[in-house]
Amino acid sequence: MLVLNSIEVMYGGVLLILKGISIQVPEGGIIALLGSNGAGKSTTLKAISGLLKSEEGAVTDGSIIFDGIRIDNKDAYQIVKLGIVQVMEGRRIFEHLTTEENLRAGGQSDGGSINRKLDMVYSYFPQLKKLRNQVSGYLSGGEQQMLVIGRALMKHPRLLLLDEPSLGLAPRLVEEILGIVKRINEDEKTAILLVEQNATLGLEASSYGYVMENGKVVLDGPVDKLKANEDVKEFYLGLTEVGKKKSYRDVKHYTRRKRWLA
Amino acid sequence: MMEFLSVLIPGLAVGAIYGLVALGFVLIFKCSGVLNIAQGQLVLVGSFICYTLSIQLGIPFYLALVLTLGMSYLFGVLIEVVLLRPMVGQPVLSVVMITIAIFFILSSLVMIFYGATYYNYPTYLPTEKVQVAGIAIATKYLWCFILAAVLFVGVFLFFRFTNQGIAMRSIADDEMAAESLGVNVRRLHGVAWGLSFAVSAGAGVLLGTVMTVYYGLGFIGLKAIPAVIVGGLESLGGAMVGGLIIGGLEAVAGVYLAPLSQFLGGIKDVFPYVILMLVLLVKPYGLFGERRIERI
Ligand SMILES: Nc1ncnc2c1ncn2[C@@H]1O[C@H](COP(=O)(O)OP(=O)(O)OP(=O)(O)O)[C@@H](O)[C@H]1O
Ligand SMILES: [Mg+2]
Repeated sequence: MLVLNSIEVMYGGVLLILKGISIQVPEGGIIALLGSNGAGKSTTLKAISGLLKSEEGAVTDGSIIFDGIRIDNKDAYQIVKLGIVQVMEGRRIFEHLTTEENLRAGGQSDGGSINRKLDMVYSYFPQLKKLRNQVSGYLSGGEQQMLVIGRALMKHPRLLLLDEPSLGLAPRLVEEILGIVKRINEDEKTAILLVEQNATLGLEASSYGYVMENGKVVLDGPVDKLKANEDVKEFYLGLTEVGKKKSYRDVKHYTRRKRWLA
Repeated sequence: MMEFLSVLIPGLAVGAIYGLVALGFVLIFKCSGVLNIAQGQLVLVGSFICYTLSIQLGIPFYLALVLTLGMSYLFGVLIEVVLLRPMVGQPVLSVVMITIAIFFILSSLVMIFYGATYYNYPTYLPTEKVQVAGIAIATKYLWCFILAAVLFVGVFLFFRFTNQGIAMRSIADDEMAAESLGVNVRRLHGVAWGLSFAVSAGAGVLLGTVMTVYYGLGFIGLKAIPAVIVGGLESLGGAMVGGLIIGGLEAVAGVYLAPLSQFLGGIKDVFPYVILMLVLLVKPYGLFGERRIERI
């Protein structure tokens, strides 16, 4: 469905951030994209959704193909029309708009009834219905996260790009939201590319994962395999072989990382 | 009291027109973050387009008015596409310089084609006076107030309830997030400029009706700036309230502070700016300005 063929991304024409990334998302799948701060996960999503262009970024090499159509040269609104919607990190609600206005802000590209879509979103997030006339700037963090996901659902995406939906939320809420994301995946047949720093969560929700470091994919495989991988255990799941919490000060950390990059 | 009302009511009518100009200013600022210095000149150009259509080309007045709004809309879109769009990402100051250039070009064009002569529209409103609370008011003030209100409410409802209006407000909050939902941000910037030009031209026609059509209307349009700032830079309703406050106070000051003008000439024209400073001292964001929402 979506294929990234060794893409390179530059910001401002000088900063090379992605150095040849290849990723595939199959129809209806949930794929995890893991990696630590600054690895280039968000940049990868923005390259797919076309939002890169409003940050002076560009795909300078390789190609992005969605359903056989090349999209890396298209504008963000055209890519949304094709069925890819990104939920950016940091819960970017329209703070002066009400909940329902937030949901309606994307307008209509497919001519479907807006009320039917609102009902669909409210069925996944019943809390939002109660808050429909509240100014969204005053919603809680969890409610805002639900709102931005719901807002993306209004576009009926075939592929949803989720950037760190768990950031700064209580574990119980994260469970709830990821549960809903899985239901959306099953019921609406929406494929999902999920970016997480929290690898435990990311791997739990998905079937296949990619691990990024420094603008490259250093590891990928089915989730079971990744979970069993020593490096992933150590750096991302925070476990050693014995299953104890690992201290970040451990010198091995650095040498292992080196090994991946070689 | 009677005398006070007979001064205040025309003042409010003119204030409603200032409010429209202020609204035009806010539309552009809210959606594209540009301070459009040329806003007053759009008022001027609008009044002359309508004059040209109705008197020189003999088109029935109300049709000429509608055509004026439509042409101004297209003109706004054109300016945005040709002059402003290439400037995206450039420093704010350069963008403001462009609007200053537009200011001078439009002023000169009007001066070249129409000179500094006073013109009049055909009488399209009833001319008799009506009694309001026992005082006689020229009906044209009431009609202008109503027409200004209609235009304002139209724009307000558009922003409140239509998908496109909501999308435009979403751009004001977070342009990139709007883009992520498939909002065609570039196109809506054009729409914002078009609407702003249309509203300002409407204000120009109304000003030309209560006063006369002449070169100086561009500078009267500048009174909208205190109205905008008093109301708050991002608030549509604030623009109208600001306009009414400035228009009302100005009229009242013009009559009641007239004795002072032997020492302080032109106090009527300075007065709005005095109000402006007082409001800013108390409410730095204007009366209805938006702050960032910070949850406690
Ligand atoms: N607009 C930009 N201009 C220049 N450099 C950028 C820009 N956005 C991101 N970068 C750089 O690109 C690198 C990758 O950033 P990115 O946001 O993709 O990382 P990430 O994996 O999402 O990290 P995090 O988990 O912290 O969100 C970082 O070094 C960052 O400084
Ligand atoms: Mg990120």
